[in-house]
Amino acid sequence: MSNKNEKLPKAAITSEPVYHWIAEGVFFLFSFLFLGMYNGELLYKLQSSSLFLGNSIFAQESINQSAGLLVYASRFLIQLLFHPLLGGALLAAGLVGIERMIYILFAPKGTFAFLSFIPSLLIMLVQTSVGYALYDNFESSSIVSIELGTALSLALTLLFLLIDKEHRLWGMVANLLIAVLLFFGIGIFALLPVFLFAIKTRPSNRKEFRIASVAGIALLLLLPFITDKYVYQEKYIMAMLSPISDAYFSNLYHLSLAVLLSILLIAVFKFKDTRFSNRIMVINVFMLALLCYGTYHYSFRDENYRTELTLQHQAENMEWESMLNTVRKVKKPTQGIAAYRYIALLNTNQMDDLFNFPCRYDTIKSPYKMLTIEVYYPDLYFYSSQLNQAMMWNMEFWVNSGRNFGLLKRFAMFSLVKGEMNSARKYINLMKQTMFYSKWAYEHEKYIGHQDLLFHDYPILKLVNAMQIKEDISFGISNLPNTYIKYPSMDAANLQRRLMMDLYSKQTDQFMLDIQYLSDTYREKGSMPVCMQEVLALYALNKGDMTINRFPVRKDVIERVKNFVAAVQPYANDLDTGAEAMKDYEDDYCYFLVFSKVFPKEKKDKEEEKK
Amino acid sequence: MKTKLISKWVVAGLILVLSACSTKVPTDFKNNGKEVKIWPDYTQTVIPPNIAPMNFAVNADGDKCVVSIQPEVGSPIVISTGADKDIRIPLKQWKEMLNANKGKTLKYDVYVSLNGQWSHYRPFTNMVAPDSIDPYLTYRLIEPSYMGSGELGLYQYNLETGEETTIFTNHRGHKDPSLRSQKCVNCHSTQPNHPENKLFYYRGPNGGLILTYNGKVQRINTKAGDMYAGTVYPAWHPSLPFIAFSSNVIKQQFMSYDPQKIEQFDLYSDLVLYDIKKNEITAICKTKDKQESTPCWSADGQYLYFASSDSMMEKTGDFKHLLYNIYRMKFNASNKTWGQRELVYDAVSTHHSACFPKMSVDGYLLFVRANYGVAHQTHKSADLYLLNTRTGACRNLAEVNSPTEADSYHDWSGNGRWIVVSSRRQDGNYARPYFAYFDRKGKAYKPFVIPREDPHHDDYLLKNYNVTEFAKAPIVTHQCDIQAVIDAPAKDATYGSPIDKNAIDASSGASTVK
Repeated sequence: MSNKNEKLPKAAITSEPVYHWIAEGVFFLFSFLFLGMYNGELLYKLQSSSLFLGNSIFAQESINQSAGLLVYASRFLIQLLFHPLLGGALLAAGLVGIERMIYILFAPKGTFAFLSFIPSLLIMLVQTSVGYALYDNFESSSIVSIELGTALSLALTLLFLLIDKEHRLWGMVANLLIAVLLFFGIGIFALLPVFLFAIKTRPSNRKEFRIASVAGIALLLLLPFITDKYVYQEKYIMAMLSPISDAYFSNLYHLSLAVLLSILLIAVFKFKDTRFSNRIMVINVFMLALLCYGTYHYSFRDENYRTELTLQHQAENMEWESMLNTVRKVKKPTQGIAAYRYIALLNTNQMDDLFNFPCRYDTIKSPYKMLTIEVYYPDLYFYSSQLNQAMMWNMEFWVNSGRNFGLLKRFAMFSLVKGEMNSARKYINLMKQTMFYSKWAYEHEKYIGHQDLLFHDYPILKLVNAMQIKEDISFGISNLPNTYIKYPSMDAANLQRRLMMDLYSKQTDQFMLDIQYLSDTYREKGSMPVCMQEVLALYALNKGDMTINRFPVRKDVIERVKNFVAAVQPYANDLDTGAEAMKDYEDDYCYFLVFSKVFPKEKKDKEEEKK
Repeated sequence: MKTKLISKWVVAGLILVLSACSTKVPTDFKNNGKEVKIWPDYTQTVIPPNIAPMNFAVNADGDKCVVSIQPEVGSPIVISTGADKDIRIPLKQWKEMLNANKGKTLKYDVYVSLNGQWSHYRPFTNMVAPDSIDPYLTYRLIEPSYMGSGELGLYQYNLETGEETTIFTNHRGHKDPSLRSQKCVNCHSTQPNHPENKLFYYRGPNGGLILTYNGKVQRINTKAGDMYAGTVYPAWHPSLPFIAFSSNVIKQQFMSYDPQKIEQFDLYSDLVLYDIKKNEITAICKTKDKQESTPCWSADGQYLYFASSDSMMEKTGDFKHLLYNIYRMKFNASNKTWGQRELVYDAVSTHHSACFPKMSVDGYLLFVRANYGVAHQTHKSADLYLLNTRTGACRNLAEVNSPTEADSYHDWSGNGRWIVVSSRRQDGNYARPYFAYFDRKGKAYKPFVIPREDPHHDDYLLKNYNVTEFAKAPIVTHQCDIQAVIDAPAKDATYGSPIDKNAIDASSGASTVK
């Protein structure tokens, strides 16, 4: 240890300021890696779940709410997360800036120097704990506004203290005036400096402390009341704490409050320890490492969630093979992952593989109490050529989950394929007002009124268009298998899709009816998907239905089905054990049919069954 | 030194101001003889003498633009712009110009400069009508959604100044997802001869009819007696304290391929009368084999017009068989009794469906006709039709209708000289209010879209203008007062008609308070 000290320039490392710079450098690196790289897909999704349009209506709508200026600025800045490395670097720089200002303002030193990192780490935890709240009407720009607001608060406190140092009392007066003026624009972050100022001036000027404290508390109570009643008509507590997420998103709400509280605590308890030694430095290094690990550990890191985010990004870029590579690594998928896999299989003409995948789906683990949200519906229906349903679901997410870039882009794309060119023009023109989606908008403008060109450049969209079923049916809120079933007739290509959906929803009787229409097709082809062969074999074995004779079914498939039927019997009353014991059959449709827990039936179907 | 610096700034400022005031029409230009394209299209139309500045954007290649508006009386307004070519007309000069030119013509000269060369387009004109338009337009702004409605609100627009103010929004529910069920506000309406009396609906928990009458705001549960649903489409009596309502059980279906993706229809609907002073609901039409909806009063309050269908969804099973005619019934206000129903317009015999009748003060009945159903806002075949009730002549109001898109909800101005219609003609999806002048001979003129300070406002707006209605006076009730009424207990309306014990029992999508 002493040798090491001798090798290094002592003044450089063991002096606290130098140590702190180095610690900040390491912290920046950690933040950048954790946010920009590890959570890159999350950052991308956060921006695509947000919206910023460069027009007056959008500005008015954004600003006309509690902390509206901060919300508007955050909606603008969150666009930068389109490039996660850039976004990660900026967020990391902001976090280091916050840490540095806390260090300057409250100087936690010696053994407690690591404390100045806590608010930044908590902010990072807010940013990485969003989880499935993303799919609800969560204002994703709040992950920027908490950082921007905190930085602004601390900068204002520094400014007011500087003014106060030069001109006694004027710092406080400026502080209170700015707090009142800015409260409607930046919310709670306009009031935080009042309290920080009061705490900071307490030892030197009791009078200032008393005035600032009383005024701060009065403003904290009064300004939200005015906002609530006369300006924005919002809930009192929401008006007080804006732009912090509503208590509905409880984990984020509490973490955000913890950020504010941690700053106040650091300010109140002056953690000053003038000593600094190698031992203290080691303690600090250890504590900082522990805190960073804690942030990583307590962030929302569910693997399936992360996979879903990756799949959504890949689906947006139409990277079907990459999607299939992504899902290959999944051990126990969610229904969402299975849906995106379906889309990828559909678009790569590999539907035969549909059931070669784990089918006992994992439940979603979320710190946030979420509803079942089928975020994949717009894509699922779109690539299944059900364009009206795709548009309907896109609109549902638009109005219920919040308007965002991802949905706007889908509106434009769906309208182009549907041939609704005036709508497509509107959406594309709006996209031109954005920072990064404008490129896509300008590239796709040429397709307005030129569907042939679109279909030439995007063969997959040509297929989507060609596979539309021109016959009109009316439907309620149906899942995809039930949508297919509602069509009285359809062409062979769509009928094959319907057969797969019959199998997916375990409607094998319906499958046996539907497949009659394709006997010639499969006989001519000389082959058919193994999953379909299995069902024909099952019906022949169990029900004596000899439809199988009209189709090209392989003997080895029949043998395997026989073996499966024999093997599954002991587990008839204990499917969970059976599923574990019969893993050899996991890639078979028979296994799926018996053991999968997928596609919960629609409520209406259940009611009908009861009747 | 300091004084010199200040004086320099003053001089520079003065130059700026003077140059702004003295925008000049180019003298060195070429007449290109072309028609200029402007957005919105405000060319060759008739405009109200009290309308807000009708700003527009010039769609032409160029880096500068000058527009000179030349009246018959008074001096011209000259506006110059840069590359955006957005023409924003100063309010004060515009007002003075319109006031001095009632019944006269305004000529617009447009000059565009490209690479230093000015081009002059063929001028277009507008006629300033002698008749004013009602000063306010109320509407709901709502996404063109299917199931959920998202963030929406009621707004009023001052047609004289171009200022939009909020009446009520559901933004609380948008910010706090736990309040999402409190989301629908709609059907705003004012009493024609007493514009201070108003109503709208608030749906969801604590929902009901929010009624402002004689300055008092209250929330009323209008589902009374054996009504199977709450009240939906309102029609204020022109002057008496009565409101006729339809009570509808509304359902909707989605279409898999049709560009008209959604169809909204009624399973059942009847008409009721709400007596404000007695807080009492009485039945007007209570029919099991017919549907009645979209009521409206004649200007004298003696007749109630409404749409009625002999077909019921439960019988036909297909909403395309729901066809409505327009009927009317005489009203005796002294004892609240009704005459026999009289057929006013027979749409069914030509396999069409007519609804949303609206009477003007001078006896013109305007309604919407489409191929079927009642939710004409989504029907591309929906067009305005005009019936002269004195002569019985009826015609498609082709001069106002769009050729391919829905033209549906409409209203007359108080003087019967202006029509507003919600039309989806711009993109087939987002409805915008269009205004048209209607002269004393029964002729309508080319419609123009609502003027906004930013000519691109409606291009950016991702919401529909819904239930656009004229108002003679603004709504002054503050949103927080309305919220207080919503948070307070509702008043239950009583039921003054005999209760049918075998009445239909159906769940309603309409406003049920309980």
